[in-house]
Amino acid sequence: MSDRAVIWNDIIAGPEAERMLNAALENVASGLSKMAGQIIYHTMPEINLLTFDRVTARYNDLEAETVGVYLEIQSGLHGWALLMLPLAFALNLADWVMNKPQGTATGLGQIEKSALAEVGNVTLAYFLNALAVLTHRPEILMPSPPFVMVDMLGAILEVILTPMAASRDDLLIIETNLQDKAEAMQACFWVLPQLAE
Amino acid sequence: MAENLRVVYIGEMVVSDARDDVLVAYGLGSCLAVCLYDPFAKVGGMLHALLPTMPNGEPATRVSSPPTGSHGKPTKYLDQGVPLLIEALVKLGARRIYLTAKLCGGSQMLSRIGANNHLNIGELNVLAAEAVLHAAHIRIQARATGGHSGRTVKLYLANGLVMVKTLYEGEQVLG
Repeated sequence: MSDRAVIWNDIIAGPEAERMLNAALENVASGLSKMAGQIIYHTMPEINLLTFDRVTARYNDLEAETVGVYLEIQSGLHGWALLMLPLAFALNLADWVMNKPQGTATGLGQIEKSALAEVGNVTLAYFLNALAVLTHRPEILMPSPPFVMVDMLGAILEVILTPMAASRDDLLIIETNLQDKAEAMQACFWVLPQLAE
Repeated sequence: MAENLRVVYIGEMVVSDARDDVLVAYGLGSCLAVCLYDPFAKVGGMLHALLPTMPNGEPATRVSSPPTGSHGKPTKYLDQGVPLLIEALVKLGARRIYLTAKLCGGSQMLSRIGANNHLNIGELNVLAAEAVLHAAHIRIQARATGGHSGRTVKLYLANGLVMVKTLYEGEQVLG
């Protein structure tokens, strides 16, 4: 098993896995709360191994207009991350991050997309930072620049599935939901480890 | 006639001779849906493929013995999946000489101004489909491919009608 696979194995299946993932997601929620000026919570993380068809079959509406912020994890670990949220919630989040009253953003222009890109960056960076400290491996800290997509949910999911498809028929997903108390924003955060070299 | 929606999930193919079946692939991004239809036998099918070619793969020749290896299901790949789709349709009663194709998908979902686009999987998928259909002497009648938007495609088995939908342009007949 490669070093990267060993690190991922510790994070998702080792004796301290549950504690580490919860701590990493607490860090994410804390970082997002500071950024948004709202209290953001995370749900209990789940680790699921799903075939590609099951990944998409879970959703009732693959045509739903969705915002996806996509990042690659580089350097010490390899993998991908995806932050997904319905457009309405993305607009609320953009307003909070830009310190504007909720309801100000009515569409995702370049400024709003930049704000959401930064949210994606912060989300993954806080996640990786926490894991780097907990695993004593400071080298696992490198997210790529984020891509922001606004399109059908199914098309956004394909972005995650395609890099994996050449070597496997299934996907290991670490997933959680991020939301505020008033439910003005709900986002799904996925981290997908690349276990094979 | 009541419509029976049959979803073609990612990496899968579906064939049918049932007149009320409507085959649908939702939210195609870089993936490509290949729709084949024989208007005389009224038999049709759809492949929802992710990648252009199987790494080091041999061409698929029989549905019962698809290539094996560590690269998974052959229907993820256009070079493997299209021959399998053709063979399945022939088994269902289609005649190769009457089959026509319509393509949908192959978008580039990740794009930035100035970014290096040489790894545009959507475009590679379209090229792979063109190559394998050309080799099979199947004409591409129409296409809704490329660009940067997601698409949903439906194939109506009753008459071979193909409808394509995007978020911002609604639903339109293809071809």
